[in-house]
Amino acid sequence: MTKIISVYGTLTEKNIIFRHVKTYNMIKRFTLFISFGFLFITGVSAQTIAGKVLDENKESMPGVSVLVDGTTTGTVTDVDGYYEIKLNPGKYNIKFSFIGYKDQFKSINLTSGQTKKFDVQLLPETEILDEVVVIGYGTAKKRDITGSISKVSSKELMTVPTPSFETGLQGQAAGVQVTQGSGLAGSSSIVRVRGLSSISASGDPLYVVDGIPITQNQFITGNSGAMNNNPLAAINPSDIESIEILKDAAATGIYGARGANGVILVTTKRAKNKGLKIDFYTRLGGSEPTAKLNVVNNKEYLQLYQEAWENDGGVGRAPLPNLISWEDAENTNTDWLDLMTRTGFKQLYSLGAQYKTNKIGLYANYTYDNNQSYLIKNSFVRNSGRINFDWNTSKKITFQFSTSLSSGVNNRVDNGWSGGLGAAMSQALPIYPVYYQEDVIENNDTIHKKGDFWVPPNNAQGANPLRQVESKQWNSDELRSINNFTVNYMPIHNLNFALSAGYDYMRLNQNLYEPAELLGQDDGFANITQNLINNVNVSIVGDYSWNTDGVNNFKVLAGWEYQYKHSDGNWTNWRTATGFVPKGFEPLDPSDKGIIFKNEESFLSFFGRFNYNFKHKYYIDATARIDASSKFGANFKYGFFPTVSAGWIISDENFWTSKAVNYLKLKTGWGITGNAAIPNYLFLDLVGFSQRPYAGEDPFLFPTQIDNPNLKWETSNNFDIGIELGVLENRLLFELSYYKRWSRDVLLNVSLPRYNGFGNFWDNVAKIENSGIEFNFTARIIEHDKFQWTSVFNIAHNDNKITSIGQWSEDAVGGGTNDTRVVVGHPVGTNFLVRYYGVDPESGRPIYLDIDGNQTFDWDPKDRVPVGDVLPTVVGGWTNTFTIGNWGVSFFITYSLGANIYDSSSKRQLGVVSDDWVMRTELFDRWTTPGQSDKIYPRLTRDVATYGSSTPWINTDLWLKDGDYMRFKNLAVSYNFPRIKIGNGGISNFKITASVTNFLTFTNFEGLDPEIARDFENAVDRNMSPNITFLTSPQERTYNIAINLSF
Amino acid sequence: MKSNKIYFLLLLASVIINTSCNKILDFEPDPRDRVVFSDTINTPEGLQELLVSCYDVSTNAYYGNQQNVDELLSDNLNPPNSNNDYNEVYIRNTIFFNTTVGNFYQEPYIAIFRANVLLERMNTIPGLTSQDSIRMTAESRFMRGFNHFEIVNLFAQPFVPNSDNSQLGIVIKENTTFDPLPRSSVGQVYDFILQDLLYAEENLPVDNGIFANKWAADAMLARVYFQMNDFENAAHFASLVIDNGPFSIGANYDRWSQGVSSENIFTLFVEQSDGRTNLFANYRSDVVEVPTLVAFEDYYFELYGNGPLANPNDKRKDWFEIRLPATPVEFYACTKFNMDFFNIPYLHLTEMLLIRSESLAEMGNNLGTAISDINQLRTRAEIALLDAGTPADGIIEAARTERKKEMFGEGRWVNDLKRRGALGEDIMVRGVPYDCNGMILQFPVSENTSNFIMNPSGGCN
Repeated sequence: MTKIISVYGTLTEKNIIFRHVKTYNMIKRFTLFISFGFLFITGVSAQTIAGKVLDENKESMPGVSVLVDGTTTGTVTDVDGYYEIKLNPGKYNIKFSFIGYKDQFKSINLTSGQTKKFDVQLLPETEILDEVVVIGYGTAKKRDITGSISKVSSKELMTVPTPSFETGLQGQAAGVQVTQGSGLAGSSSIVRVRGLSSISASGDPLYVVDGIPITQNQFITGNSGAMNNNPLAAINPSDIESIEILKDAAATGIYGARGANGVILVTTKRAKNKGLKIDFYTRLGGSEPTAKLNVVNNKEYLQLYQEAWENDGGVGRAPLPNLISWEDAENTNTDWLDLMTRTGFKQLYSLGAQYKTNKIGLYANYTYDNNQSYLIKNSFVRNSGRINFDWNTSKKITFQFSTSLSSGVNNRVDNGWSGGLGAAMSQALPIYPVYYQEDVIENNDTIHKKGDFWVPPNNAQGANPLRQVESKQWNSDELRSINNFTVNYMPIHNLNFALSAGYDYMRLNQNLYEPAELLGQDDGFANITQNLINNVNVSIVGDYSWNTDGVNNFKVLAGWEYQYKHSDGNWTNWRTATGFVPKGFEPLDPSDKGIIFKNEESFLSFFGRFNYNFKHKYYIDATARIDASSKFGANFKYGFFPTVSAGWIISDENFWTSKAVNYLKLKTGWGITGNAAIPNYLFLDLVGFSQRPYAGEDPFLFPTQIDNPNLKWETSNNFDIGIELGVLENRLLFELSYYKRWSRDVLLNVSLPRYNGFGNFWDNVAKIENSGIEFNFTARIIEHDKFQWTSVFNIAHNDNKITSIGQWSEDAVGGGTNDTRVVVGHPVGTNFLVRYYGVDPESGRPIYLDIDGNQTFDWDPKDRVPVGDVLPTVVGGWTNTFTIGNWGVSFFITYSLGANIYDSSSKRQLGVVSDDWVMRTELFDRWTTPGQSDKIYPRLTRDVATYGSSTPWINTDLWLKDGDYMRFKNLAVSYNFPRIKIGNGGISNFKITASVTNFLTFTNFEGLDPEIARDFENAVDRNMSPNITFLTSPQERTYNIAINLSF
Repeated sequence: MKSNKIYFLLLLASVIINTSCNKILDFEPDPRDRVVFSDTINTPEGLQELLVSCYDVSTNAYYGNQQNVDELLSDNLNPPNSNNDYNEVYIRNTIFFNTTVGNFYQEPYIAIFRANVLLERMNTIPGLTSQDSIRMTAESRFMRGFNHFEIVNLFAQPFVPNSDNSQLGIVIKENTTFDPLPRSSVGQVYDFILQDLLYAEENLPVDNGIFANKWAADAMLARVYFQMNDFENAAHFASLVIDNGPFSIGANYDRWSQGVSSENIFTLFVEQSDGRTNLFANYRSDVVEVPTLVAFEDYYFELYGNGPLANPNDKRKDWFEIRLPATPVEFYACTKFNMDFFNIPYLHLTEMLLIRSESLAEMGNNLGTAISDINQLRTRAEIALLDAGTPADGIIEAARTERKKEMFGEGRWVNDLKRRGALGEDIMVRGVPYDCNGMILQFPVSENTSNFIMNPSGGCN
C-alpha cells in the first residue's frame, strides 16, 4: 500500500485548501496522479455538480479540467475520473477539456440545494483544423497557420517499414519528393522540398530534432563501397511523435539562412497521458530485391564475344578474358546475381514506457533493430534508447530533458561500382568459376587448392565478387547521442521564456580488414578511421501573447541562438593485419597514423515572429531572422531574412452561407530565405604546405584558395498562395498551393578554366527558378461504426529552371560525376548528351546526330545537347485505409511520372564489348547482317573506332530511359484484438499487422528498379545526378509481421 | 521583481551577444592542414617558399607530361599501346574530355598562377630587400614565360615569321583574377613570352643555386627565338650560354642518368620521396614486355638501322633495344628512361649547340662554329665528324639529324617540324600537313566559356 495525496483545490488567490485526501492501491492502478492548484470561488453553497469523465474507450479519465466556462472556477478529475464542484445557484456552462481531446460543454441550471450528476465522454481531437502543428520555436493550431506546413504523424510514419525515418516521409506530403536509396542496409534517401534551388551547396532540407539542427552530412565517409553514410539512420523512428515539413518562406523564414531548401522538424515522444503505459512493438520480416538484371549466360556471352571478335576481323576463336579456356568457359555458367543475394531477415523489438503525473512526465524507449538486406553479409543493427523527462516544478518553471543514445553497426559490403552485387552486374562474367575445380600446381607448389576461391590472374576483385565479399571484413559503427535541456520560465501569464541547450554527439568508426589472400600480397591490410562530430546549440526564446477582448489577438516571439559544430578524427593503418585494427594499436611507421583535420563552424542568430489575428478570421504574420555564419566572408557575415504572410478564413464571414463548404481559407506569403550549406573556410585566403621539400631541401608553400570576401549565402525570394477547403464538416479537406521561388547568388563550385591555374572556386553566380503546384486531399469517405474508409492523396508538380550561370559554361560545375550539367533554361542536372539516331542498316555502325541534327558516324562531345526530362512531371502518394470492425486494410501507392532515368552502366553492358564487363540480353536485338534496319543496337565490336569514337563507353541518349513508375509501396492488413481487462489494467491495445512493401510496380523502365538514388561523391553530385543509376542495387521488397501491444 | 528578472535575462543575452561575437564566428582551418595567407607568406622566407612551389609544379608538367604529348604528335613513335588518351593524340583527334591532355595543360598554368600571386603581392611583404625583390620578380617572370611557351606550342598553330601571327594562341595569364578570358593571338603570346624572358635575362643572377639563373633565361630565349625562326637572336642567346656559361657537354651522351649533368642549364629536380607521377615511365622497357610508348620503326631504321644516316656504332643506339626480333611485330623499346626517378634536364647545352649551328647555317654565318658545334656532339657519340667544308645545307641537315637523335623523347622534334613548316618547307607528319587541325591539341572542356574559341574538332581528316 502506498499513500498518495490527491488534491481537490479550493483557493482564493494565494491559498490552497486541501479538501480531500484519498488513498488507493497502486497495484490496482498504475496511475500516479497529483493535481494542483485550481482556482475556486469560495462561498457557502450546498449546490453541487458531480460525475465521471470517460475517454473514447469508456475508460475513466483522470486529470481532466472541469471549469465553469469563462471563469477560473473549477476542478480536475481524480484518479478514477470523478469530479465534484460546489456552485452557487444559477446557469452555468461547464467546460471539460484535456490535451489531445476535444472540449466538451454542458449547460446546467442549478437551483438552490440541487445536486446534479452527469457523466461526460471526451473524444480525441480528430478535428484536423484544431490539430496542433509544430512550427519553428513553437506550436500553433493548423487553422491559425498562414505558412505551408505538412505534418506527418507517428502513425503515418510507421505505416511503411523503412530503414530510416526520412524514408517514411515518402508520398506523405505534397511537394516533398522522397527518393528512397538502394536496397543497401541503412542507405539514405534524397528529400527535396518544393524542388531544388542549389547546385553546389547542399539541396537537402534542414533537419531539426527537438530544436537542435542536427548533423546531417552524408559525406563524412565520402563515397566508400558505393555508399554514403546516412546520419539520419541513427534516429529511431519509434521515438518520433511527429514530423513537420516547413515548405514555404512563411514557415521556414524563422530559420533564415538555412531555410531555403525547406525545414524538417522532428519532435520526439513525451509522456502524454497520466498514468503508466507500456508499449511493446515487434516486427519480423524478410527482404528480397525488387528486380534482377538480365545478364547473359555463358553460352550467350561466348557467342556475343566471338561475334565481336569476328566483326573486327578476328580469325579463329577469340582469346577469352582472364585466360579462361573455351572449354572451361563452355562448362562454367555462374549465376553471380544469385550468389550475391539472399533472403534477408529483419527483426525489430521495441519496448517503451510512458509515465505521467502532474509534476513529472517520463517517456522511455529501447529498440533493437536488426535489418538485414538481401545482399549477403549486409545488415544494419541499431540499438537505441531514449529518455524524455518533464518536470513541472511550479506553475512558473518547468524543465524538459531529452536524451537519446543510439549505436548503429552497419555490416558493410561493396556494391555498385565498388564490387559485390555491382560486380555481379559488371565484372563478374558467367564464364568465370567461383571455386577452383582442382589443385593448381606451379613449380611443384600448390598455389590454389581445389575448392579455394578462384582468383583471376590480375587479382581483380570484381571478377569474383563472392571471394571479395566473403573475405573482406568491413563495418561502420556509429554512436550517436542527441540531448536537449530546456528551462521554461513563465514570470507572468502569457509571457514565457525558454532557455535551451542542445548537444548532438556523433562518433563514426569505420573498420576495414582485407586479408592477404584477397589482396594477393604477403600481408593483410586493416584500417580504422574515426570521425568525431560535436554539435552544440544554445538558445533563448521569449514569447508573449495578449488580446483585446478576444478580438485582436497578438503574439510576439523573440529569440537568440548560437550553434557551434566541431569535427575531427583520426585513422590508423595496420599493414600486417590479421583482423580489424585492435584497440590501442600503434603502427611502427608513423605515416600509418594520421589525423582528420578539424573543422569548425558556427551560426549566431537573432529572430523574431509577430502574429496578429482579428477574431481568428484575418491573419497577418511576420518573421525575421538575422543570421551570422562563420562560413561567410567579411563583407557578408550577416544576413537578414524577413517574411510576411496573411490568411483569411472566408467561411467565417457572415456572407458565407454554404453549408456544404464549411471551411475556406485563403493564405499567401512572401519572404526571403537562404541556404548556407557549404563547406567551411571557403572565403579565406589559404596556403598549403608541401609534404616534402623541393629538390630534397627547399620547403615550399602554395596557395590553395584565393580569398573571396564577397562569398555569401544563397538567397531565395519566395511567393506562395494557397487555399484550404473543408467540405461536409471537414470530412473532405482539400489543399491547393502554388509557389514560385526565385533563387539568386546560387553557389557554384566553378570548375575554373584551367588557365586560371586553379581548379575550383566557389562563387555566388547562378540563378534558379522553381515554381510548382501542389494538391492534396484527405477524405473520410465512409464513417460508420463498423466500417471506415479514409483516403489521403497528394500530387505535386515542380518546374525547375536555371536562369543564369553567369559567364560560365554548362561544364563549369565541379563535382558532378555523370554527364549531367547546368544548362540555362533547363533543370539542375540536365542530361547533356550526344543524341543516338540508330543503326546504319548497311554497316551496322551507330549513327549519331551532330549539334545541328545532321547524321554522323562520329561521336564528338561537342555535339552534346540537353536531352530528356531529369525531373518528373508529377510525383505523389495515395493512401487508402479501410477499417472493418477489428480489421484494418491499407495500401499506399507512390508514383513518379514524366522523368527519364539514365542507366549509366548500360553503356558498358550494351556498348563496346570489353574484356571485363558482362553483357545484357537486350543485345539480342542487335545488327548482325547488312540490310537490317529495325535493330536498336549496332554491330558488336571491341574496336572503339567502329562506334565513331576514340574512347569506349560513350554517353549517348540511347541510355536515357523512360522512368515512369507507380508502385504499391505498402500493403498492410491488421487485426485489432478486443481489449482484455485485467482488474483496472490489462491490455489496452493488441494489434497484429502483416505487410508487404514494394510489392507491385508498374513501369516501362528497362533497367532495374525505377526508383533510384545512386551513391554520390559529394553534395554537388547529389544535386546534379538525381536520375542516374550505375550498378545501383535495386530496392528491397519486404514481407513483415508486426505486433503492437500496450498495457 | 518580475520585470527585474526579465531585464536580467535580456541583459544576459546582450552581454553574450556583444562580448563574444567575433570569437565565436571566426574560425580558421586546422593549422596542420592549411593556414591563412597573411600568416605565412608575409615574410621574405614565405615568399621564397612560394617561389619554390613554382618550380615544384613545373616539375610535374615536364616529368613526361608535355614531352610525351609532343612526341605522340611527331613521327618518332609507334601508336601507343592501350592508352586511350594517348591514342587520341596519336591519331590527331583529341576531344575535350581527354584527361591526359587536360592534366598537362593545367600544370604550367598553376606555375603561372603562383608566379602571378608572387608578383602581385611582392610589394606588400615587409622586410624584402630590393635585391631579393628583383631576383624573385625575374624568377617569376621566367616561370611565366617558359610555361606559356610550352602551352602555345601544343595548343596553337606555329608562329609564322614575317606575318602578323593573328592566328589564335592561348590565354595570356598575367594576374590572379578568375574572369573568363579570350585567347590572345600567337603573336601576342610570343611578345608576352619574350618580354618576360628578356626581363629575366637582364635581372637574374649568374649564380642562383639550383634555381633559374641568367643562363637559363638565355637558353630559353634561344629556344623561343629559334622556334620563331629568328635565327639571329637564337644564335645570339645560344652563344651567350655556350661561350660564357659554366656548362660543358662532358663525355657521357646520357644527360638523363647523371643527376645533374655538366651540360644542364636548367634542371627540374625530382626526388624519390616526391612520389611524383613519372610519365616518362610509359617508355620503360624494363618493367613490361610491351611499353606504352615505343619508337616508330622508321625512326629506328633511319637513324640506327640500315638507313643512310644510320651508324651502327652510334652510342645513342644504346637508348633502344629490339623486342621480339625478327617477328612481324618486332619493335624498338626505349631504354633511356629505365629509372625509377630522375631529374629533368629541361634546358641543356646540346640543344644550344644545335640551335646555334642550325641558326648560323640558316644565316650562312660562321659556318666553322656551326660545324664545330655539331662535331662536339658527334665526338661524344663516337661517330664520324662533319667535314670542315660542309656547306650550310649539309650543316642544317646534320643539325636536324643530331637533334632527332639526341633529343628523342624530349618533345622538341614536332615543334621543329612545325617551325620548318612555318618557314615554308613542305612538311608532312605521318602523312598529314604539319598545320592541320589535329596537329594541335583540343583544350580541356573547362575552357569552353562563351568568349573562348575552342580548337576545331575532327582532327586532320
